[in-house]
Amino acid sequence: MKEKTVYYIQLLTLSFNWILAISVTTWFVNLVVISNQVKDQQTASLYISVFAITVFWILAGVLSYVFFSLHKHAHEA
Amino acid sequence: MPKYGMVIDLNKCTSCQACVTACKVENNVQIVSEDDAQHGRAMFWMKMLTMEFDGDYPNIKPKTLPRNCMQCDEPSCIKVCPVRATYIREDGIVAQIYPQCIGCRYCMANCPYTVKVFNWDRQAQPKEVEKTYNPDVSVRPKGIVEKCTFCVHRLQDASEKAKAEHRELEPGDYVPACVEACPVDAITFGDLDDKKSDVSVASRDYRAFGLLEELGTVPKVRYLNAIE
Amino acid sequence: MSYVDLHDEDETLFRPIYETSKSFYIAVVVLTGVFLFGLGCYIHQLLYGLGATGMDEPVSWAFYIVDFVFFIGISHAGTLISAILRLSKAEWRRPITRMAEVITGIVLAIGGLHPVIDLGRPDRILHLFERGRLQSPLLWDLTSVTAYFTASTIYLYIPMIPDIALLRDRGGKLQNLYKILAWGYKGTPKQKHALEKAINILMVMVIPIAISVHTIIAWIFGMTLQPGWHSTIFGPYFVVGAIYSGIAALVIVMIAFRKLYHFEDYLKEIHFQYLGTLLLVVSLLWTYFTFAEYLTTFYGHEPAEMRVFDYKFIGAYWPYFWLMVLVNFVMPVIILSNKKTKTIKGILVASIGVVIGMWLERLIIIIPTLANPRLPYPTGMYTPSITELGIAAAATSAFILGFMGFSKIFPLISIWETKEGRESSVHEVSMRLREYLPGHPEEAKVEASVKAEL
Ligand code: SF4
Ligand code: SF4
Repeated sequence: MKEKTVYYIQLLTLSFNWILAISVTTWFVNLVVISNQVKDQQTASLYISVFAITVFWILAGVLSYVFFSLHKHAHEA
Repeated sequence: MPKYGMVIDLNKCTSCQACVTACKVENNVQIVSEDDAQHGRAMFWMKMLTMEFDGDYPNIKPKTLPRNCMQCDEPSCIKVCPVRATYIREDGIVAQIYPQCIGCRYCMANCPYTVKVFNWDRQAQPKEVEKTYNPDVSVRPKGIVEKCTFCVHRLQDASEKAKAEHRELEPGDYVPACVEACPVDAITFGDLDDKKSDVSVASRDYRAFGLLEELGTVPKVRYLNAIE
Repeated sequence: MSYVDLHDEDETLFRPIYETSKSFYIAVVVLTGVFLFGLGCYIHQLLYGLGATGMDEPVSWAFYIVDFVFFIGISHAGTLISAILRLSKAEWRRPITRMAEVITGIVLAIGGLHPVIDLGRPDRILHLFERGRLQSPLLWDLTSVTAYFTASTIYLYIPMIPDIALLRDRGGKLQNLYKILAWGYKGTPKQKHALEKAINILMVMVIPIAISVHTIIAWIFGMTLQPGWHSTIFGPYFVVGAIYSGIAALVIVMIAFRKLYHFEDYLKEIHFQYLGTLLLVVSLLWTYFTFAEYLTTFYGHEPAEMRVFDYKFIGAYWPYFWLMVLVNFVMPVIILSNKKTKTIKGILVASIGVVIGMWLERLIIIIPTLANPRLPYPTGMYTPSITELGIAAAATSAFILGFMGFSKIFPLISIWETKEGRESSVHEVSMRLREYLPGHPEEAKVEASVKAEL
């Protein structure tokens, strides 16, 4: 397989993680809005969503960090 | 806004189970197969509970109690539902949204009165039963939870009728099927917030108590203790 | 393609990937058969409704939820234990971490599916996304299991990159896959550094996530009002139980693959000795929690609680309860605290007992409470149906299949970590030891580096 194709496939798999993080975020924003509408426990909902959203973003961040630094330093001695 | 409640007088109740049958017919509650019934899957929204047995055999006096959904003011079933398939209306009725329920049965596990029933499967109903289905109540599919709703469809009917006649809803316009069916008038139904209504007076009677009140669920179905 | 021996020092670790024995295929066929049977059971349940199970009223949660809690518990073997061992710089972790992490990944996927199997209307699962309510513990659970799954897969993957690069450089089968997954890793110092940094961040993150997962599962029960469930101790109790069953499962898997792939040289007796000690400690901890939980219940003597209590101790569930005490407490403690019996075989027996015992523990927590409602209903006896048993068997064989499949693509023991241990850790550890001792650490460092140069 060509280097370029490999790279694009890698980027694609990496982007899944970001898609996951983004969709979790939108999902939670949606849920918090709903909990507001139906007068549920908003504070609980807020805490959980803040916690969850951070976790997913950090995970995606770590993965991207590894990916890009591996590629950057691939040709150094 | 009224707050609907119910008081059941155990002194008057004869355990005839008319309410149980009336409820089942009114709400199109599924009749399960014999196999399932033996397996503990019989479906009743109103159920006759044997609380305790007084006396020695053969002179036993069972103490019974008709139990529907307590329509708690602080319902533990609602707290845990992940999709808001069960919710409390402003008039205090704990209602169930059938198309929303995903069948996780968390509410069943958390109702301290074990009130909710689940449609384990869907059996063909006898022809006669299908003919007498109540058109106001939807027939539930398999895989969802249901329970007593204080015949909320009757409230809808009654308020529409009152609106058409350009008047307010009056006490007595709306009563659930069990109340109507009781031959000895053991069940009183109405607005708990209206201090002069029959239920409200009865609910403050010295004999009045709520089932498992100590759990803080604030049941809106109350009982009048049987006293000899 | 026949296997090429490249005469690597750690050739044994590569071998399973390229060489497959006949019995392996037979096992795959058998397990696939079991899995398909379970799938058939599930399809039957989908068509017929949950009536196909043995559940009834009032036991409205049963086998699936027990398995759910159990599998998620097993998943704590992995990431949590491996993170703790990495964090505490335990050198004996090197051949263990990979397997532990794989267990987590696979079991979590299987366990996470169980609540969906348990749904009456799985076709409405999307309602959770459209209009879920964050105040329901089920949603907390969904969130934390997803987070744990994502975190532990990443935590499995990142330390595996150097190994994938090794495989890529060997050439041969699955070239393209390795090329893609290796992310251009060449082993330059900067790459190594980046990798290490990421692993450090992840292992610190993974521990609280793992703990939160099982705490939240405990809260599904703890947040209800039911006797036997409504207890503040449930969070930590479940976490300890999870780690307990996790270590036991890890030991079983390790022993099985040690035998199968001839890893005797890597997984030595000493590793099992250490794991055995860990198992013993957690066993005592678990017993302590169990004792505390039941003693307070008994002393309080609340009627509703006592009915559940009696149901477990002397009622219908007594055989399960006392069997659980036997295999979760008596047996492991006797076997593991005795030098003569604390051999690999002994540890294996204890571990199998613990896994069974922890499954029973979940059963004992969930069913007696439901079977004894507060109001006087007839209490039914729950017996699982074929459908439920079939799905449980399918879940187990899916786990084994997943593990076997993994071992054919990736090395089950971290090769680069083993090499690293051989090359640099001996020196590092001796230096670390010097630092603990009285005297000037600086001097020790110089001395050590001089020695290393020689
Ligand atoms: S009795 Fe049970 S189902 Fe009815 S409102 Fe109360 S908690 Fe909910
Ligand atoms: S079974 Fe239905 S009503 Fe009950 S908690 Fe689950 S989704 Fe809500």
